[in-house]
Amino acid sequence: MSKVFVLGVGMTRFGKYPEVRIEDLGKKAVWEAIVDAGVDPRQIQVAYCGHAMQGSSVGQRVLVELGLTGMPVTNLENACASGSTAFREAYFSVASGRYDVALAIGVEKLTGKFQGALGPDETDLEGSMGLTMAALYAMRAKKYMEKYGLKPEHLARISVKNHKNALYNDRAMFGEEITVEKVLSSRMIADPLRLYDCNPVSDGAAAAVLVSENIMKKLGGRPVEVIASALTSGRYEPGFIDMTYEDITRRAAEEAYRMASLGPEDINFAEVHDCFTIAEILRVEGLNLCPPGGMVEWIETGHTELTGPKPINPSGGLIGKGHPLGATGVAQIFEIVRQLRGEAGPRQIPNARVGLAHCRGGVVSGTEGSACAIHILRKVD
Amino acid sequence: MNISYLIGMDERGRQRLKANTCTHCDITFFPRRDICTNCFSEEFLQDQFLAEEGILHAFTTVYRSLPQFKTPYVIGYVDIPANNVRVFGQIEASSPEDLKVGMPMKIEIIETDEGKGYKLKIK
Repeated sequence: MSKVFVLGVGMTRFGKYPEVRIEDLGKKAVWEAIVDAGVDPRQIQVAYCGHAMQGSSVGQRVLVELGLTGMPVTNLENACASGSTAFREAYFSVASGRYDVALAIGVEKLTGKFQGALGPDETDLEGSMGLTMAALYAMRAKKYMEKYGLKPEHLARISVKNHKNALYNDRAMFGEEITVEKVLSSRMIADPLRLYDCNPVSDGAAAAVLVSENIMKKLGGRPVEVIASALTSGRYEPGFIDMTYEDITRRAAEEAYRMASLGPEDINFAEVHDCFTIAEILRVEGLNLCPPGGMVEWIETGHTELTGPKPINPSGGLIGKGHPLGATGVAQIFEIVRQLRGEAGPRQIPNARVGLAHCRGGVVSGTEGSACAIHILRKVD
Repeated sequence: MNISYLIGMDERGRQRLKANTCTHCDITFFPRRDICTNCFSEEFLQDQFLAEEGILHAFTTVYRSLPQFKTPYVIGYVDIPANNVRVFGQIEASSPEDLKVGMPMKIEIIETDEGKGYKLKIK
């Protein structure tokens, strides 16, 4: 397979934009990525657009705004991992040698799209009986608390960290210094998860331009190499599974590390799918960055803070930055590229060389989830 | 959603949750499957019913939900050791404080506006 580089990235500031069309959000992110890459827009040969609930032909609706029409466009859905799946398809389209310049887009408008809470598809059995995303993760939080002695204060500290990191991110929806007390006094959503333990309803878009080694050498610029792309779906496992285990993440991580010929110790920082505070904890362990149960201590010692030895979610994560479902996966790539280029400004991680993006989504009764996509990117010297 | 299809009558006339077992792999499935997920055969599947008792594995009280659900309500998972099956459902308890992980629970078939259903209750 050929080497693949991300040459340009773009993203809108995530937030609530009830009056802004999805096409306008998308085109803004795409144009920024094209300009950032320094490619002539006509060089883009193929596009992949990830979104969860935006209707038909979303990619084309965005690209027509920029006059980029006629190329092969594929629209895809993988719940919250839609954007990462689009990025993966763009990656393989170049790695296969078939294309030299590919575009990955992630878009979502959630404002006005659903009421109350997010749950699985309406035909899902557990969803039809009242299971919501928050409720599922609330139960997983309780199991982790039973098993490892985690307390609500630990969960709150993840929220505090991610809101604080978002303060340094001009593309983040939020960004404020909150306290553990503020989190613990916020409205209960599903016991023990409170409002500040959850990611917010947001709109937004992100995009990336991926190129072959040939194009990278011709154009120069500030490329970052994609050294792994992995995707798994949840397994149907009868019997009694451990709700703290994160099988879907573990399998994707194994594949990603193998592809990159790296181990978790080589990852300097990661953007991890923190749809809820407990999710960040389960996934840092699922990625094998931390042993099972080890996050309790890591939270207490600030191990995953921006200034710690293993920064997690320097962008603010889903909790601090916002989570327009389809856009998130590509927004994680935006952050990793900025960090590896040394362009992350006040939230720059020193000596960032290898970053990992973990994006996971969906609930399907009987399995652990729809999809988990992991990408590893490395600085180009 | 109508979940009556999950419920049937056993040989003693009791309403119970319908399951099936692949006798080749010794795995019990709820809801029933057409093909065993382990050997991918339909040959060895035998209909049966879930035992009516289990152990509370996890639960939560939901305060914010989709418009069709009246909050707060309690949901959770009950493990049925007799069948090696974990069952999800709404939990009926006079007070959530009464619920403890590990406590004995029972499955109760109920009638709803949409047909038959089931609830998980303290045994």
